[in-house]
Amino acid sequence: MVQYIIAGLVLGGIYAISSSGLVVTYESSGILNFAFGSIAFFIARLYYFLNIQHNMGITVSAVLSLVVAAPALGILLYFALFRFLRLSSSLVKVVATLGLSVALPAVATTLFGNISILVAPGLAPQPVHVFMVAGVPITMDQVIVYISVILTVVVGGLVLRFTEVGLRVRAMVDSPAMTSLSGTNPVRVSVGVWAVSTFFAGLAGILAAPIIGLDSQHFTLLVAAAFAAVVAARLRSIPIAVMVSFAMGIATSLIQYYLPSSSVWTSRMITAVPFLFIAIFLVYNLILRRDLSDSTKVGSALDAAIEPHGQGVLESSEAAVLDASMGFIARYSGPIVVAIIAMVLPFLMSGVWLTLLVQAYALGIVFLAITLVTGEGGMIWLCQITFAGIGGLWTAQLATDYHWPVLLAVLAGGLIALPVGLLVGFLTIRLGGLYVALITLTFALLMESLYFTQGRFSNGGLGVNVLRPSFATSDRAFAYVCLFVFILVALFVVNLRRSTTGMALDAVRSSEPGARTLGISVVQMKIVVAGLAALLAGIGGGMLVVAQTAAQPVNYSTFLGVVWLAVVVSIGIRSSIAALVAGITFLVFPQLVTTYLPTAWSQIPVILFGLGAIGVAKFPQGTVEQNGEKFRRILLKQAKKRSDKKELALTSPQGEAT
Amino acid sequence: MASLLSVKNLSVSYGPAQAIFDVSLTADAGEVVAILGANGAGKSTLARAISGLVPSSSGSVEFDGADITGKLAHQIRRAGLSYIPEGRGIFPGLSVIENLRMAVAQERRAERGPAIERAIDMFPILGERRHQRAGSLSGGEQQMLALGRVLAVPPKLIIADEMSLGLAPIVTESVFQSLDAARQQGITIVLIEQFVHRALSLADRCVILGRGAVTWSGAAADAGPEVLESYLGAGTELSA
Repeated sequence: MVQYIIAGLVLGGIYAISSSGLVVTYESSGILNFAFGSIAFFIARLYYFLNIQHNMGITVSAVLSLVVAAPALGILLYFALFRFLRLSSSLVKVVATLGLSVALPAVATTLFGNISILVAPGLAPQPVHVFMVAGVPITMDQVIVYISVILTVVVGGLVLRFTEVGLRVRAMVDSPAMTSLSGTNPVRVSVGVWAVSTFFAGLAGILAAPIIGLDSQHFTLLVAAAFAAVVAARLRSIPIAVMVSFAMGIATSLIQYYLPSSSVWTSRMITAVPFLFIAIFLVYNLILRRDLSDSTKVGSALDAAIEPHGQGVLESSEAAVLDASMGFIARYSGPIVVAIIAMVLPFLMSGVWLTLLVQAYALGIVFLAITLVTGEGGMIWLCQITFAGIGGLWTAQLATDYHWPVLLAVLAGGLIALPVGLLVGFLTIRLGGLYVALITLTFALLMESLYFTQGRFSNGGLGVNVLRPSFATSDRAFAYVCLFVFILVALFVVNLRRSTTGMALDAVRSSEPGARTLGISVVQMKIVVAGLAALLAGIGGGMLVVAQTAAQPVNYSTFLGVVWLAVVVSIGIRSSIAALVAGITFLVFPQLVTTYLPTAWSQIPVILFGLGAIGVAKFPQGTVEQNGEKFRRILLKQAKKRSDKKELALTSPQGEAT
Repeated sequence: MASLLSVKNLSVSYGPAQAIFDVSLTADAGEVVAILGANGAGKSTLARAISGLVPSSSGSVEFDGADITGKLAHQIRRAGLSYIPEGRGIFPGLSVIENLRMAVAQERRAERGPAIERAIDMFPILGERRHQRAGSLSGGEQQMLALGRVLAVPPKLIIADEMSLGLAPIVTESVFQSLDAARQQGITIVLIEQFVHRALSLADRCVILGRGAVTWSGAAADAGPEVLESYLGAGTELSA
């Protein structure tokens, strides 16, 4: 028992380092670093690279990775990414840091080699020394974790509270504008905070590696736990974050103690611990009716007053003028061109490319759901892949095990996802954007480990096979079925956008209080979007399963869902066409790389998807929208020239007459 | 004699909206210059642009013989130009003493203690409230803290933006007395004020802004009722 509590405190301590690192950077920069886990993995992987692959000593490796590389990475990331994010919207902040979290493990694999690591050593010399304290064995690794936690939490707290450096950080938290008016360079403070934060991430990573294994997926789970602590701390309080971290660590250990280690339920319960803590927090807040609308704004009224704004207004009014001055063909030229290309493509392609194209069209339908919930509804949901998974897995169940007609099963899959979406929507509806992102992420992880792992879905790792409808068994025929469904759904989304509901959504997205004063029911709007998006994602997931002719739970991992969102946002979150382009990009591009480039480049697509999402920090509208706008401008210019010529032709004879 | 502060043809835009058009003004050493104008005339924007908080789109700002156009706020503060922003120029989440420590953080270590003591001597209430959170002070006390922060290490020039906003008349009076004391020390003051007459009684010169441009400027003594009425509108007589 005591031994388990000691182990729990170790795990809790690592959570504590992570959650306090997250809170400090959120407080001082307004950015919740979703890439924290990936940074932790990157540094831990570097430590392994130096220590094991290159046989450097523990001290040298630790100093190089923690004291040199980690802060350097933090400073690099600050100048390359984080400094642009301070004034961005929540969505851009979340997506850009998620993009980083997608790209970093791939970069690590490319740099340090793609090898399977079974056991990762910690900071203690091997073999790990075991102390006996009052009859209880404690390993050197555990002692090092305890020391690190005490150093981080206690010394960190003292530094923040009592030193000049700490004072400057707290001043930054209070008001960046006032900090600079006091003569302190806010950039230097920010750089320092990011350097320290990546150091903490690296420390947590190296300490965690012996316990959870050196695998980027496991690190996502580690950070999910840290996120739960951050949510419970309402994004702000370090002491609460630390306490909740320890509680989660001990809870995890006690589950291991009380439940039989052979049971599958033990490992499922362990992965559910972060979500249980979040659930307790949510219920607690529902009962107390506390306001959790996080304002991601940093600082005071002065900081708000000097923020650059109005750019978006200018662009949207320009776009409206552009739209109004165009005819039908010009206005819809982009979608029409892409639709025609999409219709011709199945004829031009064959073999593996055609198979991918079918799946790409089906994936486009899922991406439309992301367009709807995040682009239209403004809700940063990271669990869209879960709904697609529910739809897909149930489509296979109904079609194969219950012998339903397959397209009916697809629809039913969507209808099964619908209430789950409504439930998640209902639970998160009054929360601020960051809470929603955090909670949907942990929800997706929970579903992935608790629900999708059921035997009926995995079928012993084979998955469940699905037959395509008898009228469209070939890839080419089914591509058109998928395209047809895609166009139906796209038209629905476009119509929704133009309807009164769409306008109400627009209002809610730009300002919730403003929408409320207009008499729009914000809650109702969000529930509608949440339900619809879950339904569409479920249908898309079902189509994807039929396109792949098999339902595999591993295709619906949360991490993959993050990549999905990253791709959709970087191509264009507000456009239906972008959803289709994103689907094609996501599936065809990696195949291009594996087919035509050497295997050493295999991580390139993931890195580029991540970089694309990071690029959102600079181009928040996505590439399709950006280029579409340029394309339309060219069309407009030509239209103008033509009409000018016409006018000239009409007016000149009169000119001669007078 | 060259002016301590010289703003030439300054323009400022917030995104698509231009707030300041070609504004020029000067402030000589030891002078008090009042900037007056209706709501939305651009007074605060002008002050923020001079102090480096918002970028200017064209024009130049010279301070103490150096070009500070495009310099960042902390660099301008270190050059000796202190801006007390509208609202309260304090860190509401930090304690009074921490506010003062932030104010003197750029000084050499040995000089920080005495500077804080000077500020507390000027405003003894700050000593009594030493460990209280600045945001929980009364409005008057917060302005004392803002002034104390600025005067702990006397700058060359202070831009005071609507310091009397939302204060009781008696507290307003003490704020003006403190500014007058600062002027006695030889500190140049650019005063942005809504209490027109109280501001003019302290000022040597006066600049009136309207819709982001200078509409009138001259000696404070020349800014008679007819000038004020035609440039600021009727009703300004009610203030002070």
